[in-house]
Amino acid sequence: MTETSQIHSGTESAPNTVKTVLQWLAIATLVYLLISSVGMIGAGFKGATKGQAADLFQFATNPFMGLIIGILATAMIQSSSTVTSIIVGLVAGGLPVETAVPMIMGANIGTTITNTIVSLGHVRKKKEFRRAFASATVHDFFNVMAVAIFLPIEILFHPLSAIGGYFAEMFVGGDNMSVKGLNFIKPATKPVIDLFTDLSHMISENIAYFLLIAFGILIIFMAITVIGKLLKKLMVGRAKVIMHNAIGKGPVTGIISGAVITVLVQSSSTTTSLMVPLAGSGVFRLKQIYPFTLGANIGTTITALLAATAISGETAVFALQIALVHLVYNTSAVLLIYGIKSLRKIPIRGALWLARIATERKAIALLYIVGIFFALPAALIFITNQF
Amino acid sequence: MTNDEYESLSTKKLKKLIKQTKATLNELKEEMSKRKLDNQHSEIDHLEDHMEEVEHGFSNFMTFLKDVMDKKKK
Repeated sequence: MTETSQIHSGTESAPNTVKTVLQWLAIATLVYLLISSVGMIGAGFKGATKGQAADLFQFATNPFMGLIIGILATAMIQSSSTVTSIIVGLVAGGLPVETAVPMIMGANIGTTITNTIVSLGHVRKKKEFRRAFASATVHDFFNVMAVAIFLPIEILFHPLSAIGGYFAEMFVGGDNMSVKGLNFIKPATKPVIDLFTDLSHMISENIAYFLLIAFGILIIFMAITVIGKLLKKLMVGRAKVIMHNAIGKGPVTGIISGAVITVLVQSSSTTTSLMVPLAGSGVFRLKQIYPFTLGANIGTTITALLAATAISGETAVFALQIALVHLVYNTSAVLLIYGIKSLRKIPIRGALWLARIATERKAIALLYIVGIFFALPAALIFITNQF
Repeated sequence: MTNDEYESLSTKKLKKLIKQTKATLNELKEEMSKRKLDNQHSEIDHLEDHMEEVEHGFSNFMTFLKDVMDKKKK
């Protein structure tokens, strides 16, 4: 390299470093706001329901209703991280964990809409569309199957709540391993929560707590969206290295890589959507994409865990419990469905079948999206209300 | 080589030929796997482009709708 070019590259890299530092600072600020907003939702929900949160969500005590709420909410805002963080906040505000578990499961299904929409972009090339659509819907089939297996078991025996509760108690509730004494989150987030509480009371005294919840939801949504965009830029290089290393190393590495990339970009939709063009081009086979997708399910649980750190006090244990339920549920689903060969093949076969018929009649793809993510949940809500 | 020509070969020669063919087949399979892996690595090198594609969810949906409508009209 010549001296001139060295000087040139030196002057170019300095602004880049400053830019990167600023981007990381923005992420740190947004994570702080995210954690604070979960606290805001908890405080708002507690204040709005005056300790009667269970009564307010009486309509969702039917697990199917909870599931549908999770599906619809996530499909509409296309971010399971946002929905699970809100659920953590609601649990902190008094929403019973057993009511929240089906909502978490529903969020898993709702989030799959994003990569399915991405796959529609390949519509002009028939073979490419078939491969892309199959790589997207394999995630749908897996998540629906996981709910079909785990929801009835959870309703009958509550194993997920029990495991989540056991570990939550261990981390924040018990006397031995409690981190209560070390909790610095509450004083750190107090200024933001107090600021928005005062603002809500200034706007309207009657609906102050509802406004606080609304501010919390808005900030969570904005924070997660911007964090996702920034991390995509900052982490693309790291994601490349992980994927290069995972190639040709088998499904377990694929699952771990999918989980790590999702933690890095803080969005399962990003990871699963990234797989769509890779499969669409035909360079990666559905069998190779599938483990990455499952890893994304596990990696995405980090956001709810992060959100749970915002909660202190007597409901902290429940907030952590629901976040851990998300982790235990997604990990167990991968272990069970991917671990058993005959079960493992079902989502692949389902996705290939659907992709084949959707390639022949494109309207079926549209019907599928509208039906699974919106019409069917809405119809189920209607039916549930009738009986 | 035709079937008649195979018949004229000694068993020893035939075994040798099978061994050579297997070795060639393995080499070809190896080359094929290497090419597949190279293609996958090169696809991952374009991850930034794929990230951008992911951003265009709404326009993807509109493209799809337009395509479905066009097909319906025909």
